[in-house]
Amino acid sequence: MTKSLTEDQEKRIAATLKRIRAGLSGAAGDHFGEPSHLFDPEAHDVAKPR
Amino acid sequence: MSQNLDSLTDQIRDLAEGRQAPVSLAERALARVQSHAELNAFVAIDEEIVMTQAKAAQLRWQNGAPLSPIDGIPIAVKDNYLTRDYATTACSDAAPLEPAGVDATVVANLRAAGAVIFGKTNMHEWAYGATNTTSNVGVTKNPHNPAHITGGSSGGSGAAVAAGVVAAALGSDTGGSVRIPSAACGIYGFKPSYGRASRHGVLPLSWSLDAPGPMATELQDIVHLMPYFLGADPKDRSTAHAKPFGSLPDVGPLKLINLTGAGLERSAEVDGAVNAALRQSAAQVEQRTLQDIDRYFAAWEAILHCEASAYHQPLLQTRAEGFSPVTRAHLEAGTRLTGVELLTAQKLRGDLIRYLTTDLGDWDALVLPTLPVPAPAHGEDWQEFGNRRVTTQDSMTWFCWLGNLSGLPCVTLPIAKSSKGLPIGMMLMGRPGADEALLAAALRIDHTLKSKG
Repeated sequence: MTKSLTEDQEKRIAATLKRIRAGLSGAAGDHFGEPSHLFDPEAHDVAKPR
Repeated sequence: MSQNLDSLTDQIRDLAEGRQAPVSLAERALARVQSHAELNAFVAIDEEIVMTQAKAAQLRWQNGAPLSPIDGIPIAVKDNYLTRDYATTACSDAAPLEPAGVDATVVANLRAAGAVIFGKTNMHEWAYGATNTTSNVGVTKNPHNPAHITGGSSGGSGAAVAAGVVAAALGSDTGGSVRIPSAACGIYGFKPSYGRASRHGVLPLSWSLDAPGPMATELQDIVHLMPYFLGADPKDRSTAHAKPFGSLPDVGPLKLINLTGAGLERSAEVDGAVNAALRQSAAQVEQRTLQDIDRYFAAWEAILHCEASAYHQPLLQTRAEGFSPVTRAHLEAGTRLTGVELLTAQKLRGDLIRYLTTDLGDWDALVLPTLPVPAPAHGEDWQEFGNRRVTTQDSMTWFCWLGNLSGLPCVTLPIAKSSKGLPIGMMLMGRPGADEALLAAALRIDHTLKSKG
């Protein structure tokens, strides 16, 4: 059985999430801009001759 | 530390001219592993495996049929690349210990060219940190001063090259893990553009941030190695449209942009070294302030933790105790971020790429120090510079993560030594996909700086 997290680990996680959320909350930029996730269906079509 | 190291370029020339033979190169490298054992650069090395490869290469040279110019040259491999003969542990007790029986694509490419896959190098556990002080085989020591860290996560590769054990080694880079130890150890390191180098067989940390890259004694060595990294690999769909490594373009007068701003502070010593290098570079240099660093850094960190947690879910559920306490905390943090937060991070990522590539206008390279401070001493938990006090871990990735979040190619050059004799590196970032142009610009700058002493 997986051990539960220690107090130190929980503090570290809380600090990490606080830092990330503080940064992300200020996000403005291009309101209509699409996230830069990559999705290239053709790249996965390995059967297709290239 | 060894002086006047043989570069890969030297070894290529010596093999071609018959002044060196693969067996003697391998024997010398094995001897240097022993004489530099205190650095703890290697996780696994098997003399029989090394010499079998070297003898086969020597026979090919004797028969006048080498597989390539690097046939018989020893190259060390970070312990997160799958290798046919060695187990791949990522320096973690959570990893399986059996050899995979297959090579990562980059390793396979090098092996097909006759390179001697020399041994596996120490690294920060799962590449999830930049100090090389968290490893299940212990810390790696800096050849310039063993009281100082190598940086990481490819710290064993950095130490092995800087100590002259091998002329070149493989690293991987998610937030600077090729460039950080290269700069801290005074060698050259290159992170290719996202989508040009196959990551197949390199244990992932964060799919969209990871890149495999070479670390070497000279910049020309990197040029020799790039063909084995770049190009389409059906086993890594991110490279579906990747071009193979091409010839280096002619470069005209260079325009560099020196990035500064809140969040890009550096020590006075490092700042002085970079400014001196830029003055000597004979390039046109413009200074620009990068805004919103905290937001972009948050985006990098969110993507990093989410992707690492997704990859490690099976191990996290079955062998969580195998991770070091800090690595496990990172992974747990990733599970607590939301989908909206991840997409917000990806949106910021797009904003950063557009700013760097479009809003900043025309440029040949963006310039930053590779590290804000020279290699910290072992046991130093905090670094202070430019009115900042940050953890040593954060100081190591201080600038480098920008290259991973944006996907731009990056190279680090050693440019100076600190007052304590520790190396200082300068980082150049190129345009996406334009790895050859970045190398051409870097070669020009490196040559100019060396010619001015």
